[in-house]
Amino acid sequence: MKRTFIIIFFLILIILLQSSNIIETIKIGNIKPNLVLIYLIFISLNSTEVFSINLGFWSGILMDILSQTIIGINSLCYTLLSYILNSLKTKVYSEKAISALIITFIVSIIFYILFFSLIYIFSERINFQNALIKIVLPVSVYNSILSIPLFSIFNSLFVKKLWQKR
Amino acid sequence: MLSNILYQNRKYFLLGFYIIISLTFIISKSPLININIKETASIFISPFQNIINNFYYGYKNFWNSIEEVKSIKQELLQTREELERLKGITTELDEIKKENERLKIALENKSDLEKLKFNSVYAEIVARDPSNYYSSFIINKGKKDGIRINMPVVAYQGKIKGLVGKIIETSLNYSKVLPITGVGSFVPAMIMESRYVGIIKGIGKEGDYLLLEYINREAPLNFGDTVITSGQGIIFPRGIYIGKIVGFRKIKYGQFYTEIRVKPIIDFSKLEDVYVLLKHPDEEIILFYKPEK
Repeated sequence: MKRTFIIIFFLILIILLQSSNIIETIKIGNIKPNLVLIYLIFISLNSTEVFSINLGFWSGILMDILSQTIIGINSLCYTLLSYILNSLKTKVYSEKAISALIITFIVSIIFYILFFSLIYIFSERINFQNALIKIVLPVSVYNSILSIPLFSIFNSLFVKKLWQKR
Repeated sequence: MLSNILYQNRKYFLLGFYIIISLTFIISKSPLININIKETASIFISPFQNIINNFYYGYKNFWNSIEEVKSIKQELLQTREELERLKGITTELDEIKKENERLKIALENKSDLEKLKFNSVYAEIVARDPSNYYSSFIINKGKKDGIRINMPVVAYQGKIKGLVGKIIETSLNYSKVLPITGVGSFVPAMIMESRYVGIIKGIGKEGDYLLLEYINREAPLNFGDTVITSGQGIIFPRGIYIGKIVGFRKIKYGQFYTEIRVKPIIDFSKLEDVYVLLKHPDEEIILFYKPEK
């Protein structure tokens, strides 16, 4: 219970951080990292399927509310990715930094391709090539680089303290 | 038996349930539903965004203050006379001075805005769109201050007044602004020098420029030409500075128009405060476009 509460508390904190002016200070060019996605990747790799599906959906809904997107796009992307990641966790994840880097990069790419496809189908005709070069690739690289220190922080926060206490 | 099956497959039921909910939201796509949900939720979320933002500025100011104290200390050591003189200068006074200057500029801006014949509301940006594709932001004024959807938003950088965007959502104390650079933003515009009119379109984070479209190919174009609002349409008043032409080319899907790149006069990454013009969309013009029964 305590673990769930802390994970949700951190999720809300990260979502607020993602939508605040603070994130503007770590922007590189026009690109800001997706801290919520990195957090969800970590949680999905370290928790149960039901929990990660729930967390994916609700964080997506919160992101939809704060964003200009149609409600449902982020929630669908985050829910699907949480489920898929959680199902594959034993096959793909180890605690090595390189593993965090590669997984975050691939998941970010898949997430944004899914996100922009849904926007293209349901919202507006975006320029896919431009979005891929100017948003998807740079954000994925930025996310994956940031995932190394962040995974290590989350590891010491959640896995070593909370999970082991159980 | 049934409950056993349900329990064993609960993850699939949950996944399916969430996917259906998300798709229902997306497909329904009704602006009314979206706005209501967002409006209600933003009442709860926006104050927390405000707290985070205030915490950030407090933290930033704290470190700035430390930097200033350090430099004052160094100067104090240099001469005794300077020590006496600098003793009275504190970080707090500096902050008050800065605040004073900011308010003075705000007052000057307000009187300048009155020339547009509309009242205005001063607001600060408290949160930005968390996604990388959209660039809308939230300001700390809402319906309570008279702000409504489709009101124009302007800002000052230096002494220059420029168009920022328009209000797309409002709650009691907060409003969401769609900047002119944002995806889905269209502003009737005009080249000030040649008086040719077109539409300024935002392209989001795909580039740091705006597109001026539907300008007749006969129009004389020069780098550095000024683009302003044309006043055509129902939202933006005429004559607000948008930006300067930085490039142009003929577009391939039509032979009559030239696509023009415009650099906005407002640097959106440095934008901290804005003014919302309390101008309601021109209802009479809307009536012209309503089909007769």
